This record gives sequence, C-alpha cells and structure tokens, in this order.
Amino acid sequence: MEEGVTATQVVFWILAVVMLISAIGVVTAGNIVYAALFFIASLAGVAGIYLILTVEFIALVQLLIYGSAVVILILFALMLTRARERPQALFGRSRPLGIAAALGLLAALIGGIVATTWTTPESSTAFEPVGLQAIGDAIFTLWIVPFIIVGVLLSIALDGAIMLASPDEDDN
Amino acid sequence: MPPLEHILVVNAVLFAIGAMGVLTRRNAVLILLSVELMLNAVSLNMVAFAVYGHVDFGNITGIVFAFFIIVIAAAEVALALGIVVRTFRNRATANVDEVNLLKW
Amino acid sequence: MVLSEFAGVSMPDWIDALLRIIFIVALMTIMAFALIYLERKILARFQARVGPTRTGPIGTLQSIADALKLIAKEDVRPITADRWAFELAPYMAFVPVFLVFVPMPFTETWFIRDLNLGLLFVFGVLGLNIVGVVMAAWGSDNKYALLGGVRAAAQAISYEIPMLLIIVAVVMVAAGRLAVDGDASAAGSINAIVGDQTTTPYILLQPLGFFIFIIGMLAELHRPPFDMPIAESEVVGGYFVEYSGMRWGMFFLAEYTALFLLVVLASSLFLGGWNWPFGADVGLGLQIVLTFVKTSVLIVLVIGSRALFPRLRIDQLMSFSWKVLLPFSIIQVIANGIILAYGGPDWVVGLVSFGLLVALSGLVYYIMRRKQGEGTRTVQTTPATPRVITAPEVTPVEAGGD
Repeated sequence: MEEGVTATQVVFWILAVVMLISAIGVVTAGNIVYAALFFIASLAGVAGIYLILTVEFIALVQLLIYGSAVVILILFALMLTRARERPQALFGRSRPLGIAAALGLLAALIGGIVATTWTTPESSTAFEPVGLQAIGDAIFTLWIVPFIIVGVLLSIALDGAIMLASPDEDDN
Repeated sequence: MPPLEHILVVNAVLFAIGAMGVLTRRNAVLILLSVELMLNAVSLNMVAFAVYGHVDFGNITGIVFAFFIIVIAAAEVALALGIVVRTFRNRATANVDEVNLLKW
Repeated sequence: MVLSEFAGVSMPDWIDALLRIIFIVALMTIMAFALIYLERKILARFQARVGPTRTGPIGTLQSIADALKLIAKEDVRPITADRWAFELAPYMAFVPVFLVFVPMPFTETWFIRDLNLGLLFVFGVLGLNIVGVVMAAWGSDNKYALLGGVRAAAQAISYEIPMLLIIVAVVMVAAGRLAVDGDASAAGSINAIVGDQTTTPYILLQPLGFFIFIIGMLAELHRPPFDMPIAESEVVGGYFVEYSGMRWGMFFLAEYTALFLLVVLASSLFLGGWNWPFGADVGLGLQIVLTFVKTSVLIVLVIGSRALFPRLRIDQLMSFSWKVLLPFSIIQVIANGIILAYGGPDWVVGLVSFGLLVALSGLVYYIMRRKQGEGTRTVQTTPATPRVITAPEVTPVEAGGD
C-alpha cells in the first residue's frame, strides 16, 4: 500500500468520519430521538464501509435489517416510553468514570492494533469480491448448524417479544 | 482499499464510543443503541479480516459471522425493547438506575 | 449503458452518472404527473364524474397546474415542530424511493444498472423511506401526525415480511429455471428474472406470490383499502398533516414514484416485463410498449381499488398480515423448496401455488362470513345499577347551649 492515497481511501475516510461523528452523536445527544436519528446515519456509514470492502450482500442486509426494522422498533420504543414529554437527565452519575473507562479501552485497543504486525495480503487474490453463491454455500453447508440455531433463536425471540409486549389479561 | 490497520482503528474507535454510551447513559433504549454500535464495530472487524484474508477457514467465514451478528442483533433488539416497554408499563420509567427492586 | 448507447458517443463516467440521475428525476417527475392525472380521471369515472377538464385538452395539464400551485405556496413550519427532523424528513422519504429506480428493467437493455442483488437492493433501500415518514410524524409535534406515522411504520414492517418471503419464493423458482441454462446465481437480478419469462410468466408459476405481492404493495404504498396511515377521516391526513408547499409535494412525489416503481417490479417479476409473450427478439420499441401496457393495467388495478374497497381497521390490517399472509408465504417457500429439491416440473409448482391461493381465499371468505355483522354487534353490558347517593350523615348540632 505504498502507492499513495487512492480514491477508495478518500471515500473510506469520509464514511469513517461520518460514521464516527454520528456515533458520538448517538452517545452524547441531549434529545433521545436525535440519538436514534444519529444512529441511522452511523448505520449508513457502516453500510458504506461494507460496500468499500466489496461485500454488497452484507451492506444490503445491514440496510434491510438495521435500517428499517431495528430503527423503526427503536423509534416505537421511544414513543411508547414517551420520549418527548418528560425531559430528564439522560446520563447517569457514573458519567466521568464511564468516559474514562471508554478512553482506556480505546487506548488498549489501538495499542494492540499498532503493536501487532499485520501481514499484507497478496493483493491479487485476497481482494476478490465474494459472490452471493459462495456466501450461500458457506451458510448452508459449513455453517448449517449455527444457521439452524439462529433460526430457533429467532422464533424464540419472536415468541418472547410477543409475550412481553402483549397486555395483561386484567389490564383493563 | 485502505490498509487493514486503518479499518481496525476506525472500528476500535466505534467500539469505544459504543462502550462509552453503555457506561454513561441511563435510558435503557439509548444503552441498547450503544450496544448496537459495538456490535456493528465487531461485525465490521469480522468482514475486514475476512476480506483481507486473515481467517484460517477462508474468506467466507468472517462474512458469514457478520451476517449472523446482524441477525442476532435483530432478535436481541426485539426482545430488549419488549422488556423496556414492559418495564415502562410496570414502573413508569425506562431508566436502568431506577429499576432497582432487586438491588440492596 | 442506456444513455451512452443513445448518444452513440463515449463519455466520462461522471457525466454518464450525472445524465442518469437527471434522466431518473425527469422521468419520475413526468410519471408522477401522469399518475396524478390518471388517478383523478379514473376515480372520477368510477364515481360517474368526468374529472378535470379545464386545464389543457381534456384536463391533461391539471398536474402541472397543481405543481405550480404547490411551488408558489408558502412553506410553513409549525413553531413547536422539531426543526431538523421536520426539515429533513421529506428528503429521507424521497431519496430512497428514487434510488430504487436503479435496477428496474424497462427493456432488455434499458436500465440504470443491472444489479446482481437487484431484488435485495429494492427492498433494502425502499424500507429506508419509512424512516423519513417517522421523522415527519415525530417532528411535526402533532398528535395526528404521530398516530399516522406510527401506523405507517407498523404497516410497513408488517407487510414487508410476507413480501420479502414471496420474493424469496420467486427467486427460488427463477434459480431453478435458470440453473437449466447454467447460471443460477443470476436469479437475484431483476433483468435475469424477466429474461427467463419468454414463454411462461411467473404469475402462472406463483399465483399466490402475485396476490401477496399486490396486497403488500397496496399496503406499502398506503393505498386503499390499506390507507389508515393517511386516512383523512381518522388521522386528518396522517404524517404529512403539518406540511405544505413543496415539502408536502415531495411526500406526494415519493408516494407516486414508489407506486410506479413497485408496479414495474410487479410486472417484471410476475407478468414477464418486456419479455412475455413476444420474447427478447422483438425490437426495443415493442418491449417498452409491453412494459408500459402491463404497468398500466396494474396501475388501473391499484387506482381502482381506491374506489372499490372500503378501508380496513388497523387491527384487521395487522392480523391479516401476521395471521394470514405470513403463514401462507412461509408455506409457499417451504413448498417451493420441497418441489424444486426433488426436481418437480413447473406445472407442479404452479398447481401447488394456485392451490395455496385457493386455500387463502377460502380462509378469508370463511373468516369474513363468520365475522359478518360483528361490527354492528351490540355490546352486552350489565345494566348500570342506579347509584344511590346518600346525603352525608349530619350530626345534629345541639342547639341551645349553656
């Protein structure tokens, strides 16, 4: 990677900056719905980075599952818990401690990344885009047991969510 | 494509931001959002390792893992939001530090 | 592809991209104008009126007059509205819908890009526009807008699931058929699916799929009978109640664009798009005529449903998606999987799907018969016991004294 900055890298850094600024917005926004909207921007940045990494399938799955379903669920929850009517402190008492811990974690992670010597892959073979069929083959042959477990997990989660959210018999 | 280290550093920053949100917020929904940020950082890492060929099982594995992480995150959101809504209905609060009935 | 072929010259990539964007916006605006005019005319005919006649020959310039009025209108923002959410919401609702244009095949070679994951792209991107709707609903600081937005969101995620499962079923059939020619991995591309329908449109193979797709499409577009999110008599217009002028116009444009694009998608997936019944060998002119004839039939169907069906209730809408459409689409996917895995011929696929459609219709008919008159049922309550109001005991004050 000594040939200087390419257009892909520029796009990557733009997306990364958008993603990180929105992420900071998520954790610091004073308005609870703004946090959710920042979250969408952050997700879009992540999807863009997936595109740069040439995994279109994951990028689209990200948009489909996170972009619409998860975000809508979260906005629902915010409205059901009356986000707007009750202004209140959004941060706990342990805020300084939390910030310090997060910074420590960041330092440790970046230290670890910098200290490791990463082998540069052979650029001709490693960057070949992965086809949809290859992903499908991997999921349904090599990883079929986790796939089935995820399916069971999803149905249990569906049942559990319905159980939790349905009103009690004696509610009214 | 950007060097692997750059992607890893960006993901580490995203992960740390998510961790900060989990540690500082008191609203359960916002904590959930921060957890989602951390999960996103992890799945980005998985994909980055896969694309750069650092996985023993071949390039696909990391991508499949990212796929599983996204799917499980969806299940987790559904359940966690069910719990939050239920808590709000019972105790009229979505703040985790006010749900302290079992704490002493 | 499309534009450089037209011009017959090679051009730099960014000019090509720019021209494509301009082409999309221009075409979609014209289509929206035409659809608005058509809707007014068709609805008028249903109601024994003639519709707009004054502006231009038989009223054809009515949409342009409407647009001019909208542009000239004052753009009002309520003072309690949330500034950022309110201002950005129309764009969030509008941009994803226009992006969906990219993989739509109008003829064999006319599309912006033939994406290999075209179908996933359509639903992944189209789902984002609901974020704009919810932003508008929350940002308007209006109870009715919020109600409409929550309804729209609930409806969108409920009907997206059976639609996506049905798309999976269609892609399974397409992959099975394309595998005969060699390349099953192209089955996610819309153009490849259309290319496979030279002799058999997929409506014959997946009639249940077509039915569920049309239902889901009506629900996603908030068209009657699924128009609770924008029902004027219930939520006074829904999530865009506080918008006026061009911002309102953008919601409107997004809705009609989505209508056009989903109808093109339906005709590509189920009616053979540019391909059936003449095949790929006829000229591009006939192909585009075919696409537009099929699209127009579906559009008349969609617009006519507004005049034909009364609005459902929100609970009926949700139950219909989760209790009827979702199980049937799952059964369809499983049935397709079993038939295709054992190499069943096409007519078995079509017959099973048709049987499922008959079963669905029968179930709906049975439920409707059983519930007939339920809406007018008198609620049995125990008669209220008259409350006896007793005067508080007044302790007599002893008169007199010492």
